[in-house]
Amino acid sequence: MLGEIPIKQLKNALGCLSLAASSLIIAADLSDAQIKEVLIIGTKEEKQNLSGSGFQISNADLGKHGYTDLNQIVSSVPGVYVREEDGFGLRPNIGIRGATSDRSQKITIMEDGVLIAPAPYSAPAAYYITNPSRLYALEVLKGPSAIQSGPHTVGGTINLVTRPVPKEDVAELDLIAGSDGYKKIAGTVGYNFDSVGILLEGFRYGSDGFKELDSGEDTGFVRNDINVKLRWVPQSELPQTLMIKAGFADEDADETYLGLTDSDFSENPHRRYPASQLDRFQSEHKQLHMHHSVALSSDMDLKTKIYYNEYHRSWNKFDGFMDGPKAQDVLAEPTAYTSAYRVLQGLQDSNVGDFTDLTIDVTDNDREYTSHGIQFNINKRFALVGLDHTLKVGIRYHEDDVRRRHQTRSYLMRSGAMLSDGLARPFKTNNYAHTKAYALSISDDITWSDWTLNLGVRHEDIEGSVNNKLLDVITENSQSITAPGLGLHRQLTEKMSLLAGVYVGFSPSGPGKSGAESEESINIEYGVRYDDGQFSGEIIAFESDYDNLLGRCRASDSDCQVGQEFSGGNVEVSGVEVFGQFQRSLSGGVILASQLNYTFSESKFKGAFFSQFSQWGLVEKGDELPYIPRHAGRWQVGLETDIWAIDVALKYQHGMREVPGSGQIADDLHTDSLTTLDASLTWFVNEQMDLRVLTRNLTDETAIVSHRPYGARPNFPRTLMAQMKYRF
Amino acid sequence: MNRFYPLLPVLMVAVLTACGGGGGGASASIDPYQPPADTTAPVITVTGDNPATVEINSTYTDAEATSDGGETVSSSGEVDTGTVGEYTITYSATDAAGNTGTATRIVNVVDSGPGDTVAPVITLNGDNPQTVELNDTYTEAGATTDTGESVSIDSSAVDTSIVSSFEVIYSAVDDAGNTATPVVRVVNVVDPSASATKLSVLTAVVDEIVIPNYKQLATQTAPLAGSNSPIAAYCSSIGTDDEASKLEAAREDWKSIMKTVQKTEMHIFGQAALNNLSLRNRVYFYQEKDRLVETVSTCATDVAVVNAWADNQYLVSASSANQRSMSALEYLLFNDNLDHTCAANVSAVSDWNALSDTDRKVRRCGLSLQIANDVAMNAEQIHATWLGSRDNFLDPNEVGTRFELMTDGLFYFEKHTKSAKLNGPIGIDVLCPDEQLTCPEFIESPFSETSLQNIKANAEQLLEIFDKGLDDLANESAPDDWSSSFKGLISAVINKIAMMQSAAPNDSLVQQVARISSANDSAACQSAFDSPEVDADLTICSLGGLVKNVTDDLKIEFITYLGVDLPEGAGGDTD
Repeated sequence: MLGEIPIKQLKNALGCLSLAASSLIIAADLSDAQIKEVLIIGTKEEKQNLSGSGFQISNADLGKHGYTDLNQIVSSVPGVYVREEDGFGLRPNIGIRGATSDRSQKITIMEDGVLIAPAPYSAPAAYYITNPSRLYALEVLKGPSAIQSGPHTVGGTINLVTRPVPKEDVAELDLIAGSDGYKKIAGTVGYNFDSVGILLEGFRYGSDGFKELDSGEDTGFVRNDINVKLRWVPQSELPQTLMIKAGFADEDADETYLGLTDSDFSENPHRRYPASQLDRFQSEHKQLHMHHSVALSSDMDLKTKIYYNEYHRSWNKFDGFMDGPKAQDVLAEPTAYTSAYRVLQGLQDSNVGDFTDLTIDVTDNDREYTSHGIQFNINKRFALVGLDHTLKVGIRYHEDDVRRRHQTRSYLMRSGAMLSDGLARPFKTNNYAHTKAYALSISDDITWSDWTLNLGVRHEDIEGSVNNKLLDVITENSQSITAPGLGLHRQLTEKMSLLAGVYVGFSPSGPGKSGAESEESINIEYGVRYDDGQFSGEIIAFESDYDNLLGRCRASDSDCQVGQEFSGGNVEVSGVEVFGQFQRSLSGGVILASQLNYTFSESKFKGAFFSQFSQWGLVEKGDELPYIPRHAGRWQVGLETDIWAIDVALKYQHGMREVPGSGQIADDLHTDSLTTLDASLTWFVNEQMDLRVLTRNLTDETAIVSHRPYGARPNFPRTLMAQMKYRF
Repeated sequence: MNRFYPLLPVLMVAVLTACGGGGGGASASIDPYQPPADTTAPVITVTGDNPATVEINSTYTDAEATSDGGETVSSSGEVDTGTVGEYTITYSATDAAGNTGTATRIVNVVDSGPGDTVAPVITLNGDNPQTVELNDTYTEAGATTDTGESVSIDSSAVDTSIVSSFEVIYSAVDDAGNTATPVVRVVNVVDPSASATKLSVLTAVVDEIVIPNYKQLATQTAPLAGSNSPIAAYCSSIGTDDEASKLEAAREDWKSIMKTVQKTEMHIFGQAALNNLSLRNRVYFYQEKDRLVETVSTCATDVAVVNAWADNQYLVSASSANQRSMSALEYLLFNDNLDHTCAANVSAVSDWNALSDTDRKVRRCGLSLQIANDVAMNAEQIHATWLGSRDNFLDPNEVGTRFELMTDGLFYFEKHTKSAKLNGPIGIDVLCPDEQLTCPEFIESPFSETSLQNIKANAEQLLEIFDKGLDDLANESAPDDWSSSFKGLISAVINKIAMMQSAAPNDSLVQQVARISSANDSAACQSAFDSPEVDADLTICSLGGLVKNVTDDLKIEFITYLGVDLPEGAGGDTD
């Protein structure tokens, strides 16, 4: 992962451990001009005066645990919530400060400053996300600065920064082998011809899966990813860079939504019922991005990005019974649904002709997405009436679409095997959704003495349409949103500063939906930062007031009055984020470094209402939101020399409600609290080779991380991996 | 020689008299004070039937005979019960004086065909299942047989001090030794103070509503199969002075059955729903499917009338749902227009309109009788299969699934009562295409014009089912007494219809929908619908709003508090 960087720089980066959010340390690897142009927070200087909370994870820190799971990576960021699903983090569920973590759909996800979810407006659920193995750095933008990127600003933005074209030629091989047949093979070649540099990356990783089908079949996955980056720095009057990036990725996973009953989970959390035997996720992703940046003058630069993404996925998965009870009900109360429960386990055949057939529904959620657009970012620095201004203007035109064909097929359980019943079934969903969006953001950082005031505004014009091909109905909607933000930063002393901000967050409603279904929030944050070079930290309090969370009247209600039932959907999420890190040189060239983050969150619905959104249902005033952990934290400590490094991370996430409630969490559907320990030991053998042993969940803790969609699902079990990196 | 035979007895009497007379004179001369000698033979009385009849191959038991002097009576003569014939049993007794009396019994061994091999059928009085409250006394409602035998009742298992389900067994044997199929009455001992569970509520709904409703339906429709049914009476009266009154009686009978049918519509699950509702559709066919309302096809029924007349092998049971059931019966009984309703190119009915009115009535009557018979048979079948599968349906291990089948059944009120029967016809529901002001074609029971009555029956039944413990169950998780407010919403519908009917008894839904004839009317309807509590001219649209108030709660509060799901798309469509 670090190989393309000259070894001296590598040592430098490792030496200071480049812990996240420390602007001093991240500068080491984020100051590269090429990186700069894909960052959304920016460099050291820019981050230092950031009036909102921004967070950066450097390449060195990413490499430490050999993470291939974005959920794991972002858990080191305060204010970010993760809900595990498959264990490998293939389709992460990330939320920020109360924005729902469901398939990361309420946050803005970018790759190198470009929207990367398959269709961020039309279908924001992030079924595709940049493979963590490609990450060079990661940024999380919260607070008022979040309005610079959109469309989903209620929570914030995650920007995944991919590996740059190295300035020096490099060739690297990265091999990992681990438990449950985990393997990764990655090759990187970087080469420069005069003004043109090229980076070629290819990798394949996968696992046989840690879950166990009764039939013994694999439950794992394989992912392939090939990317090429070309960088051209022409000899021109104005300094400029052109970068073209093309990529292809695919996945074949035996993934399911079907979990277990709590009692089966306690017997063997890794079991998978035979009703999930046909489940399979397959996808292909293609991308072509072009980045151009030019310094128009010494105080003004222009970045242009043109991007095109294409994504196709097919997910055949157990989706309940054609005629029978809901799978989640069966798993919640198996003794009241004995036949259905036995059919799930293959212990009983589907029973055609009885009161309920118990024919199994396997639906292929087949979707094709495209997403493309062009965006300009102009930064201009100037002085006006004695104040320094940094004006940032962003303009984007974006289009995306999704074609959904959800084809149901029906199967009969017969002696543990699933046989097609051969019946033609209608599509569950057959539609085409399309969105066009114009976005404009303007922000001005005004600096006077030790004060920095940030004024910003974001405006979006969104036009969406859905062609429901089942009903042959086209619905259209347009939204026009203007959301302002204001942030204030004061450098109290050289080491300490205060920050405060308020902004309007927004998450557009999907195409064809009533405009009243969009989410809006007023977000406030304030806090203190400290940085003395050896120790740095921050404490930030936040509060988000949401309006118009999904209310009562849904599209499925044929005759309800639009807007009549939305009064209940107000939510308040508040909390405190604490972050601290320090490092110290010990005797014998040993460096001790440690990092701690902790987030306290509380949430409440401000009114009683009903929702057919399965996570909410009946909500009473004062209920807490589901899937927001009250306490979440991570503590990491490492020792390092030129020859070896040892790193240990302890992570805790409090049990989460899975339905709204206000009493004891244990009284309702909830996830378990989970404490896991990850550790790694590295031997820097020589300039060419590093050897590393990694473990995840060293103590093999087991917890129910979710009961959705269907039943209890486990966390990632203890996994041992061995890694070798070789630089030619 | 032959001509002398008649003289023989005369001669014999003459001889005997001469000799006897001589003897008498001689003894009198011996001792005149001695009592006269006993010369009277005992008189034998044959007990039991004479002649007696005994069935071939059965056992003949002689009933014997008695003698007036108490002498022993002996009998002679054999009865061969293996052979049909007349047999004589001779009884004789001899007194002390040596006088012998005799008597005979004729025993006929007959072969009366198959004989009485028909077992008696036991019919229970009272409810089955029967509910008894804890520690109350179980009162035996008894049972009868069709042939009058007495019924043995074993209710020893019932213990009303325990909350449980018990069986009372009824048995009977007729004189021919045929044993009736035993009948079991389920006695549920319930604790009214116990909190409701899904199983207790489901049991109450099945035992106290579903099965009794089907029993009532079977009882009401059973006479339809007989020759004394109101329809049969009407059929025989065609062309007579009684025709109009008999027709009216047949229609009233149909309406009364329809009220029960509308109750059962609120619980189409279990046996009634098997095989795509096949049993239910045979009794009554009206359903919304894929945004279309399916019910009787009048043309198909017209064709069926012709076919049934021409072909004495015609089977209603083999015909499709749209030309049978209470729906086709309604068309045949209530539609006064005797012309067929088919397009001109339907050749089967090409000669129909040329027939005389009487001929056409008679032919329609012919099919009506067959359909009525079929309805009766299927109504009985639903009842019988429900009784047979009741225990299986109430299996505690499947209570989750079965409870939801029951609650799903209540969504009839959303899909049918609200959308198809009412708000579709008045043009409010999306079921009615935008380009149409109203959709009168959806109206249920358009010939009898009992649609409002049907809606009222649905609402009453919804209320009754909800009141069987769903209310208590819902209130366990509802923040306030939601169940009462929900019942209030249903009652508002019932009261509104009652009010409409008392204000204008003959103003049917068909007529009210016809009054929405312009865009202005449509707008007025929408506003009445939106504010159903406010009095409006188009009361039918206010009613639509009241019904929607019920279904709004049904779709959200009801399913939330009871922890069930919306019936459609049980598999869902997870992202």
